[in-house]
Amino acid sequence: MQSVDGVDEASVNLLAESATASVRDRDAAAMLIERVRAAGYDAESVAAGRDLLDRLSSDRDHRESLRRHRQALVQAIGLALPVIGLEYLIPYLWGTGAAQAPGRLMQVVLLVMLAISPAGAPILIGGLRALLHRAGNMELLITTGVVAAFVSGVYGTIAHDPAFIHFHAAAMILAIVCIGRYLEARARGRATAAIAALARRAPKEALVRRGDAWEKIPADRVEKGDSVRVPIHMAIPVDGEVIDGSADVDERLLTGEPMPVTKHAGDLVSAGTLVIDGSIDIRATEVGKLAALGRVASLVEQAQHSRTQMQRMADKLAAVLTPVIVLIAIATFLGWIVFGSVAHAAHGARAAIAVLVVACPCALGLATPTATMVATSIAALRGILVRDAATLETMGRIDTVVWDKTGTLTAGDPHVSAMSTAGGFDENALLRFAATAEKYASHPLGKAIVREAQRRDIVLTDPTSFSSHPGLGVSATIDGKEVLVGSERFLLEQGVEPTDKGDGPANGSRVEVAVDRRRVGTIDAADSVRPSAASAIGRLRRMGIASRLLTGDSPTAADGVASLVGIDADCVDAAVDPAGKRDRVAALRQASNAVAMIGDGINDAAALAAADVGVAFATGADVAVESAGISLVGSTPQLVADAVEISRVAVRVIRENLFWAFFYNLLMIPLAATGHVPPGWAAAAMMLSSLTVVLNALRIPRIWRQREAGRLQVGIE
Amino acid sequence: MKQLRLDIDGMTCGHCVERVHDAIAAIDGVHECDVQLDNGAAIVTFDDSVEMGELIQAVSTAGYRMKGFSPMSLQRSPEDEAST
Repeated sequence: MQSVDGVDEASVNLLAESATASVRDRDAAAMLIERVRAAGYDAESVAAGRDLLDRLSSDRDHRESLRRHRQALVQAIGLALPVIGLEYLIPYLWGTGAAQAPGRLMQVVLLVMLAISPAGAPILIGGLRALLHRAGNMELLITTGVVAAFVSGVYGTIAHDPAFIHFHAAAMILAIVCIGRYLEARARGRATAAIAALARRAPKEALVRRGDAWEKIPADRVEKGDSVRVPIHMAIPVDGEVIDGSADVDERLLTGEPMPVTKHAGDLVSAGTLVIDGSIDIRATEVGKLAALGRVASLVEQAQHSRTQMQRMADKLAAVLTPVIVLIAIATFLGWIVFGSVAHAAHGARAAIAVLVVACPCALGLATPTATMVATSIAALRGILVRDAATLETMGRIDTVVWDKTGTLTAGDPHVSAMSTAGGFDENALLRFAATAEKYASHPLGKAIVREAQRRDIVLTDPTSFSSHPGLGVSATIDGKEVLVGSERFLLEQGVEPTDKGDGPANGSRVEVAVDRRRVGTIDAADSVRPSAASAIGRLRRMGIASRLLTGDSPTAADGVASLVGIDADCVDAAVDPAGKRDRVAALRQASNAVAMIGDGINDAAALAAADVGVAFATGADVAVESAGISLVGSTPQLVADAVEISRVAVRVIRENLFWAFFYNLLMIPLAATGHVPPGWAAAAMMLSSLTVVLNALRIPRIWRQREAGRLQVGIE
Repeated sequence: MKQLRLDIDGMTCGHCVERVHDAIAAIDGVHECDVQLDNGAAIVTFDDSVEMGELIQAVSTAGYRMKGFSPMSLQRSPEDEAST
């Protein structure tokens, strides 16, 4: 697929029987489908996310698929067992030589029935298609093996030479492949249920015009034709057409393209993409529910399609292997004749068939996807949305976690906790000035001050002038006086004399207030630390992961929170602006194995992108969520530790799987070529490796649950 | 009658300017509104019936953020102000 002009990246998911490709335009997409069809496969374009939801929300589809696979399985076993049984019974019932004919004929009939049944037909037809298009794949290998066994057996029947007959191997191969497909369908069904569950959990909001005003409603209540406004930094909640305004839109979710695209009136936009700059009004063209859920679904589906580094190597290997194996099989057959004698032709045939069967690389193709699918689905059930397999892999490697403070370790909802006054001002006067200055500010601290003033029934007028200085404070003119409210640094920069005030509150922030360049007081706002923060950090430490705190807030506030959650004082970086956060994270990456950054706001987006894995609280700014490799639905620090744990389990299982898939089969080939493995055993061995891989992946939920139970029992929570 | 200069974040093109302008001009009591793209400023002339909150609300509903405001004396015209 990647060789098609206009296709940027493509990946195939064996399990889901689908492929994802990022294409430049509709023409490229059409050409892509044509090429895929030319290669021998059938392809239908399913626009990312939207139609997916139809498939997802109808569980029925998957139950149907599961039922079909189970039926095929029953048929396969039902037809294969007699063939295998006959293999052992024939000598007893019919003796040897020509007398065996009736029994052999029965085997042939059963095999043909199996081949044309819904169990065997798809495999054989798939293999035939691949051959016609000169492409190597798993089905081709299986078909070759089955056909070789069949032909050899027919020859043996006609020539009355039982040594050539391996009908049971052919039957076993087909039956075993059916078992594998059934298990795959089950794994897929489980993953789908998890996606649907997560989709239901993550509502998004939309600004919809109702009469003259704009109302915030849940995105899935937007109706077709509604006018929706999408301001800066917001995710577009539904598919639509721009009717007003213009914006730079980040379409990474759909196209993988990091450069934003400018949209003007008349352009189409898609749900889930991000407004980076500007603001647009759109008319909803796709019903809200579909679009919003489709976006989440497409995110998880992407995760399941994605490839880790190791998997990419394995894929390439599998493709190359197919023709090589066929050559080895032919060489094996000839080898037996050449190095032995013509009398050894039967052994040669047997060995060649065994080689074909045992070398099937299907286990390799299943090694990562099954584990990824299972891991992402149990993570999703927890509210941990993993973007792709590579993120899973990296998350398993991290040894350092950097936490943002406000909104991440703390609840982000401060309230005024204490005040001190000077210069003849009392608390209410202080509040009046400070709250008036903060009246039109959007900082949570400012809002807390205004709320306290309102609580005390202090009347607030408007400032005559006002200016906000992000990260520092606000300045305003009130009743002819110049008022400053902000950090110590802010006041110093504005030329106000420093004082030797005491330290700020343990878990909050302090703002200084100055009127006409004279300090008149301080206001402390406390922000409650999230309950599970401390235990989450303790758990991470026990896993060998160090935690650090990175915040734009004051050192005092930072140290306070750090001591409450168990972060060492020398692991705290305070008073850092967004660019600084990004640089600190980049520097940490040099010094450690892999770094995860946890954040929730617009301030963190750059830092999240700079980390090896960015983890965003999904209740925060959309910008943060979109630039993160992992999103947490439900802002619980404990989920971070869960995410690491699931990743570690998944990585371990993936490594085990790749090992088994690769070396196991590799070892068997020489054994098969030298005649030590009869074709029947070869079939069993091949499927054993596929089965092992799938079952190993299905172990992940159990492993993880055991770990959890273990933790709860010991009382570490 | 009062005149205020609003400092607005996030305007990137002519369309944005238009939207802010329309949103503010729609307020009852606003007499004049001049929005400038290059410095992100909106000079608004309005009478006493208009509350500060309404102006701010208009800007934010239009999808932009007001980051400051300062009073202007009515003698100067918006063009003069822009050149300082």
